[in-house]
Amino acid sequence: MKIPRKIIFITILFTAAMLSACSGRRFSATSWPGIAVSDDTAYVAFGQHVYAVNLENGRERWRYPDPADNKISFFSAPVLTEDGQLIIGGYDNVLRSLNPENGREIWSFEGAGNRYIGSPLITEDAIYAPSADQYLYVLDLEGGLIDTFQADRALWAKPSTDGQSIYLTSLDHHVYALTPGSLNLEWSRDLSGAIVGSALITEDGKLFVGTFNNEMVALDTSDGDVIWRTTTSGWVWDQPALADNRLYFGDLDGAFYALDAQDGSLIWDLDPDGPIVGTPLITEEGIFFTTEEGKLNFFDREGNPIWNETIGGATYTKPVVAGELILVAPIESETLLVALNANGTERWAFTPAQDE
Amino acid sequence: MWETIIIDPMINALLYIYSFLGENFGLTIIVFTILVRILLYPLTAKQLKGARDMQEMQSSKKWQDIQKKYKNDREKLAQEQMKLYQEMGINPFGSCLPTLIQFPLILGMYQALIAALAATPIQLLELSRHIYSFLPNLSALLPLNSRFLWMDLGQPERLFLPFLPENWGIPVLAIIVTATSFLQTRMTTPPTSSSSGDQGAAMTRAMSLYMPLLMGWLALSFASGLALYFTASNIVGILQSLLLNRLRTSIEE
Repeated sequence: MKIPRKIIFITILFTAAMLSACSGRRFSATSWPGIAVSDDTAYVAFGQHVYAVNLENGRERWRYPDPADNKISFFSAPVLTEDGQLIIGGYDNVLRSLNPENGREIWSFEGAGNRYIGSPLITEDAIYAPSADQYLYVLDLEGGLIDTFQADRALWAKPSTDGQSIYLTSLDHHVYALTPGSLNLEWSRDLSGAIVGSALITEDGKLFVGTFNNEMVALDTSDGDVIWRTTTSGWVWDQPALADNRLYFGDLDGAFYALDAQDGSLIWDLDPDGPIVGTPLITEEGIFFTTEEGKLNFFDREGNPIWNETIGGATYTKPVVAGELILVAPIESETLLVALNANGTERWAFTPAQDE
Repeated sequence: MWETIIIDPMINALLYIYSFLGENFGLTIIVFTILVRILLYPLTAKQLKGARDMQEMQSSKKWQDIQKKYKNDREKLAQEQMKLYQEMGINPFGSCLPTLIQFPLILGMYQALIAALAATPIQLLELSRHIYSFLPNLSALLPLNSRFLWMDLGQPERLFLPFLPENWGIPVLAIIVTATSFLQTRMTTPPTSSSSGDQGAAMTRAMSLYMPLLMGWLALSFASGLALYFTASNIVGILQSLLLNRLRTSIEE
């Protein structure tokens, strides 16, 4: 009698436990940190808090919310506005405006039906907030809803603008060009692969975007016509970076490319040490990019390695420059934010104190 | 190992079927379930045969005599029962072990569903590692359309009706899963004796009670894609039982 009941009980418990473990109900990282910087502060959104970190010494200035609320989490990079707001979208479907000085909430918008994965675009008079519910929400700077635009699938990327149009990329494989204000659709282009990174816009009327169709594509911003397409070995996740008429980006197969922005021809490529997700950071000295293996790599613009530094964990967030510092935010690591000098030595590391 | 043997084939099979079904993931789950049930048919047939053998044993005169003879001696009754099982070539767990073997498949199916629907950046990054590169154009299918009828297949299912108060959703699939699990269990397990010394019968009774409740709870709590899998699987199982019973009847006649 005992044995069969034990078998049943153990089987039920095992199945329930295994399913519960992979249900995503308990809090766990579902994305990587987003970073924004001001003159003296780095703002890092990760998990249950947005942290403000002093760039001088890596000490925490404030965190929001405090204490943590199990229903709220953040992963998209916050955005600072010129009128002194820190705008951040959450996985609780709420877009919030915080005071960058003290982290107090100024207003919130609760109209979205799904989480915010991409950061909002801030223009002079509006906030363009992409949501995973397929809608782009356009708000005024006080959080009032002005208009919406619906794509066919989730929106994960921060919209881009050249001042004339708003360019929106979507997991529905399309790039959309919208008129600011009216949100009239000017054109859309199907690129045959999901797009999770933002479009890069240039002054000479080109738009560059990477896709899950293993391509980097250049479009004409006036009509969306394809100028060139270059095949990559893996999915291209994030926005490319542009310098000296060259496009720099990595893919999930671990290849890093330098393309001629005019015709998409390959100038050089290399294969460092693992999938590359984040947009590279270009400085006068060279190119910084992170890999999944937890390294920050520094190459010159001809693809020659200068140094690499192991940060630990896995690094998907793009490196961010803050004055003389390079900021990197790993996951699967106790350290949330690491500040490095230009020669790769660590200036400070920020490890958040546990919630009480 | 688990991912290579179970998860990866399931994810790629789901994507491959999805590409032929008008990018309808609900239909994909139903077709995939039918294919899985066909693959598991030998186990199902064995389960039904085990149930039938058990039923025959319990209605035999010899077993009823043994029960009468040793009704006050549980230990002896159990020994005689085991002897009878051996004589008749019956595996006492033959009707429920095939059911237990399906648990890894249920677990794998749930993980494959959640992985394929990839609702967050980490999940999508993970999904990129599971897709077979030798199957062309699977990446172009992503992200999958998670809408099916009134459901988001990546979320627990509730049907919201206009005449009900706000936030009052009816768990339609959980109710169907519980009912069809109960029906299927009744059709595939033998009637049991109430003898407290009969281990196989006790297990069967317990399974008949717990399994539909467990399935209903899982359907209520987890992604509706899993509930859809349970529903389709139960309905196919019921149809298989009806078909096998009809075949057996016609052979006996």
